[in-house]
Amino acid sequence: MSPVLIIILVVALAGVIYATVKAPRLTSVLLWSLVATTFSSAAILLTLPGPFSEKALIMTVAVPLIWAGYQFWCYWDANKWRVVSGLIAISVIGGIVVYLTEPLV
Amino acid sequence: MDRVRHKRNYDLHSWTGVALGMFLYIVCFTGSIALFYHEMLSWEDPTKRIELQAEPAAFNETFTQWVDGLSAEGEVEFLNFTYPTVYEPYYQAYAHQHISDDEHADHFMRWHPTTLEQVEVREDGMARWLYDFHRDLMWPTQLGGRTIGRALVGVAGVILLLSIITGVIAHTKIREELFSLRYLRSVRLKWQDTHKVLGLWGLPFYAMIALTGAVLGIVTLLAPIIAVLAFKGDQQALFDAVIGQPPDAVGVQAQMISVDELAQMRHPESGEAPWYVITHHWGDEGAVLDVYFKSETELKYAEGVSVSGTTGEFTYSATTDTETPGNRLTAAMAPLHYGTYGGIALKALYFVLGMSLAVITALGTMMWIERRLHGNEGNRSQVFYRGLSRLNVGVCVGILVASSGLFIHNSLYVGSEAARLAWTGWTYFGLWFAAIAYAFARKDEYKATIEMMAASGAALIAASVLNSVTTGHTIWSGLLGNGHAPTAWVDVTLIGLGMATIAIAASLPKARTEKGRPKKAKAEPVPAE
Repeated sequence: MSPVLIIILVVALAGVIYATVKAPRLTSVLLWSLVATTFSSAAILLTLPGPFSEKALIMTVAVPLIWAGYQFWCYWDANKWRVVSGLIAISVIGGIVVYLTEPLV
Repeated sequence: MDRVRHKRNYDLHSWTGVALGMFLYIVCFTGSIALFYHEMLSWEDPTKRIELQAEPAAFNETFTQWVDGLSAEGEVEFLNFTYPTVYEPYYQAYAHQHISDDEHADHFMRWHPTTLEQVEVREDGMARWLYDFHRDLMWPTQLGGRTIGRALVGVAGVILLLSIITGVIAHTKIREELFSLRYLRSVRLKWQDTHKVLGLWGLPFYAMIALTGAVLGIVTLLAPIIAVLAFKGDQQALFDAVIGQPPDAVGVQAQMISVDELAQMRHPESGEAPWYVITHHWGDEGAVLDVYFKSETELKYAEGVSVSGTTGEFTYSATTDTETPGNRLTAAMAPLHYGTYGGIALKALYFVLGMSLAVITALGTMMWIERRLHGNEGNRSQVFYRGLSRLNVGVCVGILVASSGLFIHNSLYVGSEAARLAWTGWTYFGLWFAAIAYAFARKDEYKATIEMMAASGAALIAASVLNSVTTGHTIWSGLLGNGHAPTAWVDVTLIGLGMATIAIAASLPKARTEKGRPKKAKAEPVPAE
């Protein structure tokens, strides 16, 4: 990996950490809800039983609802740190499931 | 619900509305126009004004000669053709040709339904711009291309969904608010009541349009991510897994079924005639033709059956015969979003509801600004909120000016066909930016709104007159059956909308009548969270 790319990634990561600490609800609604949606949807798709095509088609409709649901939770929950930690935890668990599941090709 | 939670929910509703209100307005406004894509196509292109024939001329010989000519130059990898319809009353075909590894060519042809002479193919212009601006914002290739634009519009759908959920929760007295319209009170109350009444009465439609729009947009964002996660980045493998693979070629040349014979085929349930055909391995013994009909029995864009390319007998195809709940659900998204499952009356209803959604988003932003300009909310200067108010007027009314102007531009355009779409875009953005500049220069949002609305109304009426003058096709000839009826109906609609826009502009107040509360000298700092 080139040093320039590493610097960009480090700066981006620092920016995300700063934004999360400074404004956890706002960062969650903008970023962490999307990350959690992506990983949890992929994990559901890879682990639930049934034909892949059928799951993929139903998930296509479900994903906007999942995303809007996570975003809604960001401002519904009284504890702002529970929101951000919850979304990060969902992303991490989803990521682990995707990593451990056999790829489809 | 406790007060703090209610406040947070309300903040989220305001935040989504204010941060993305103008963007949502643009998506809703352009979407209402995009509903009439096919009608606008007929209107903008005089070559399409051919009367639909009950018995068009036999097409098979012309078509097969054309395909054989292309096949002699290189392999035809993709081929489809369309039978004459009301909006496109001619035969048309598209072929993608593989000439060499580095050279591919696209061929698009139209033939007159009775003489079979070649009909001029006009390049995309106004209708394409207005349609695609809603679908993908005409996002430039340099910035990632249309996929990015489509995903952004999908994100707008998700934000609208969130806005609807928080909006419903924010309103604790829904039954009272459904019938509360205080038009004789203050400006803010009038806007507020209109926002709530329209929002609550149209709720099921808005929720449906937000979800279907989000699905149609998000799928472009989602597919590559899923491909990376589940298929090691192989998008084609993902599509094959979801859609199914096309049939294999046998490798033996064979005589294809006549496309005129195919035209006599009827849908087994609806009795509809074929609309368009997608071919797989044309000229091969194993050729399969996916024949599509206007959807009359199912909620989908088109109903398809697959037949053998040589005998015309029904055959199984993963593309047309796989009916699962997932298939039905996703196939319903586009017809639900664009209102293609009903007639023109349904589209008109969609138009009214779509425009009302645009008005709701604009009113939301206006109320937010109003509370800061004439109330005690907000911690920024009056200059900032005044500028925001003018920007809101410029964007919201300016898009009406730009869209109306495109109808005139279409009739007056004299440049090359290749540059038509580009000039359409320049005109659109030129008019829009000019309107935003005017909203600032006028220094009076009320007058700027009225004047720009009146100008848009006049432009819509003028566009209809110009169309008759430049093409020689009058409204009367179209309506009396001597021309092309959809075009005449677009003209009637333009005149009606133009008159309605002028009437609304005339009825708007010329200036703010009541005085707001004095702005407090210095606002308390608002915490970030």
